[in-house]
Amino acid sequence: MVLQAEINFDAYEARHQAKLEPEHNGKVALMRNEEVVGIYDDCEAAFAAGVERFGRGEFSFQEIGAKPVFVSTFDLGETA
Amino acid sequence: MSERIIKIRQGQIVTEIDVATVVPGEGGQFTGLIDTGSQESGISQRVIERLALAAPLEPDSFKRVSPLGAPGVRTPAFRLWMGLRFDSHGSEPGFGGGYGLYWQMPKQPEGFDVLVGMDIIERFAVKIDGGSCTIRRRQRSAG
Repeated sequence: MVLQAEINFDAYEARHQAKLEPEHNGKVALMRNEEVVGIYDDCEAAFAAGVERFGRGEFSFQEIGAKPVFVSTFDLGETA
Repeated sequence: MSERIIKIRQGQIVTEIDVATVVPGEGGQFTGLIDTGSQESGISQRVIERLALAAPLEPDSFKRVSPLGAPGVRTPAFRLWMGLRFDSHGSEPGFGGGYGLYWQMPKQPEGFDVLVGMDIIERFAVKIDGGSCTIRRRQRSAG
């Protein structure tokens, strides 16, 4: 089964990220089937809208302009 | 006062932490490693499996996570509630915490299931002194 979060993340990095960051940095993109279907102020607002419109598991969201999360050194497995 | 005192053992601060999908306190209790070197908290596969007993749990997002000095890893992230359990006092709830987007650790670590990063730690007043760590609720601001 293809996860919405997975296909949407790939699409976000490949097609949407560069376009969204200049104008919507710090906001959250609600995504479904590789397309951005809404821009919200924060994750909670995007999550609530996604659950109402599509149901949990049928959408995902991406934090626009998010930098990699730095964590203390330990083995995170293979890079991708 | 609501506080939790944890003895530091072998240089690690380990404490129980609650994680839930919807309702605070109605998920599961897991072993958490306090880690001020991590910006955001991570969860193990075991947390996801336990929380998915009632309903399937699929990621809500993906993040790139980077161990210091290493390339970022693409990893699923889950919108969950996470917090610490305290004694209840009057109208004050028995939990301190909140909802967040928590990344999944690619490998199951030994000895803990939640890497408790600064996104959770900064919600509390934390003091490390003389071989123990005290975690208190932060004072509510007036107004």
